[in-house]
Amino acid sequence: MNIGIYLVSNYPKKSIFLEAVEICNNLDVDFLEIGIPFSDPIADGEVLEKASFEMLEKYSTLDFLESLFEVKRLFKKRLYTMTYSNIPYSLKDEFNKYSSVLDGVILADLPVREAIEFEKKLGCNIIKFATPESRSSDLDLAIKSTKDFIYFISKRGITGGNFAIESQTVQKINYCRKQAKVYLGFGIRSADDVAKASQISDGVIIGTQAAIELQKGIQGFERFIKNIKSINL
Amino acid sequence: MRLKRYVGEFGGQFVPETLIPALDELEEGYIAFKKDKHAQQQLRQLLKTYVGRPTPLYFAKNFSDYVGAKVYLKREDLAHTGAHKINNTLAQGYLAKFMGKKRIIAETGAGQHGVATATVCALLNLECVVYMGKTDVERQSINVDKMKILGAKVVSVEKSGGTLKSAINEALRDWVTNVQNTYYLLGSVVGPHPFPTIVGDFQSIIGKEAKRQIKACEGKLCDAVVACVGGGSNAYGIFSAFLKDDVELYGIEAGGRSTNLGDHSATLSLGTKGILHGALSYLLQKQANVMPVHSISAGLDYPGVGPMHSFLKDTKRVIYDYVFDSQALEGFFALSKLEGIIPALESSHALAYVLAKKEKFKNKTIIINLSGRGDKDLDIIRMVQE
Repeated sequence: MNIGIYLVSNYPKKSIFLEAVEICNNLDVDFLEIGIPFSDPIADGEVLEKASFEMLEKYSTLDFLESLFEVKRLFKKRLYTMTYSNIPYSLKDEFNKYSSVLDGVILADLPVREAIEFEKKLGCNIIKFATPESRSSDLDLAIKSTKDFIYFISKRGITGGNFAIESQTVQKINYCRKQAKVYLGFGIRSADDVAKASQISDGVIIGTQAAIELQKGIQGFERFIKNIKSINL
Repeated sequence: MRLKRYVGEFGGQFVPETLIPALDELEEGYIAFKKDKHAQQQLRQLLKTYVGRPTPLYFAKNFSDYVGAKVYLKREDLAHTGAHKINNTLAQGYLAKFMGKKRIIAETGAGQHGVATATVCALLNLECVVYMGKTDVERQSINVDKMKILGAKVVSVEKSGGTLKSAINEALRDWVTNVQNTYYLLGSVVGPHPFPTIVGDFQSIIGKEAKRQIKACEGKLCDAVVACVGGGSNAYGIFSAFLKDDVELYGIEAGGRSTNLGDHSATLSLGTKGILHGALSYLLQKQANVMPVHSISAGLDYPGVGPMHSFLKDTKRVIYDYVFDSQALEGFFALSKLEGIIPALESSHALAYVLAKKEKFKNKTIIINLSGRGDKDLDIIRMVQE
């Protein structure tokens, strides 16, 4: 079971963010997903949107990207970034300079059918999505084009909320798992959720709850990650 | 799929994966709807008796004398609800019904698309939720009242500037959450494929009529067509019929207060290529983040633009330019006083361009798309005058 933590770049401020990265490294989190704030985050729920907007007030996009180098130094396992298509598209070479330290890029507004071309232009690994709405043709396209894990969005909607999976969705996850690794994201917020998810998937991504814990304080964040990781032992 | 996702390098479907099946369903529904003779007949009948089409092509003699050109106005302001928006909402409302959808969501800037959507939902007995930026709710209060009277729920969006862009963000979030029973009725030629194609098609009636009408009046085509561009639906609606003809086409954007980023909405004239709300197109941005925009007219206040306009700009088929708020006001008053027609502030940008470029249009025959009427703008006019 792989556990991934999503952290909004530099949130709530750069020093605490880097401490959180170190904690994740020390507690053997399997991968990190660093969010690069964007002005129009249509897939983000209230918590992550608010965090992004706060960071956009304080830092520039290049500051967020620059932080990726520091994260890479502090965190030894796999590193991804999560943002929206306009960031790599419009920053082009500037983005590529930073993406060289990444294992992959997750673009919340880039469906598989667009990702295939986009990946060639960008020259890096783009993570493919599947969702409860995916038809078998969509799942096949995701499986065929994936070089890493498939990011399975557990529910219809935006980030945050509660974790609940329909039985039809479980069937879709099983279908993907025959040929690719599947990580679940959206709505996973507790050790219980992770335990449930571990029955049906290869990994999870925890975002909103990590941001909520981090906002409360770094000690609480550490306890939260320890608690999540205890499931994994 | 049978329709093209891109026009040149522009367009595409930059949306969360969850929406892809819904966009495919929409495309298939649209293709079937266009082939269904009964549905098309019903729609044609309502465009005539309910919307009031064809709208007149009016020879504006006084305005013509004033500018030294022969100016015709395509009177979309006379369409039901006072703007061209109803052409699209009626057709998409029927399409939603045809596809068996019962809940409609929409975004609105000036409120014209919101009112036109609420109107059609009342007519077709559909649940209607309209997202509107808080700033727009405040400056377009009459349209908010109208939507409520028509039975729509209006959701005021405070986040990220509280204008059209924020309203689209929230509408997309609603759609991705309620995708199983909800139809997103987009109001312009923007958004992910197939919306630009669908909205462009449903607005193309403006150009088809105008072409027939100008031939009947003049015995030939006009020299130029001028239209304002925000998202670009009225402009594409009228341009589309003339693209293959020897007719100059002018798309006029909002220059706002100045050409500084944040002071205008002149996306094509002053923007760069980028991705927003599902499509690759021109965009007003800084370090890859979308910038706040300004225009005196709420309907042009948008940092993006329809992908076909980006294509028409790059291929140089259409000339895109801008006029400032102050010029738009001159256009507004000129038409009001010379012709007894109060134009929308959006359409006033097209009028203002012709006023500003008298030499260019001297002795030419031109059509200006009068996309809407100005009653909704009286609060803004009053504020500016004070």
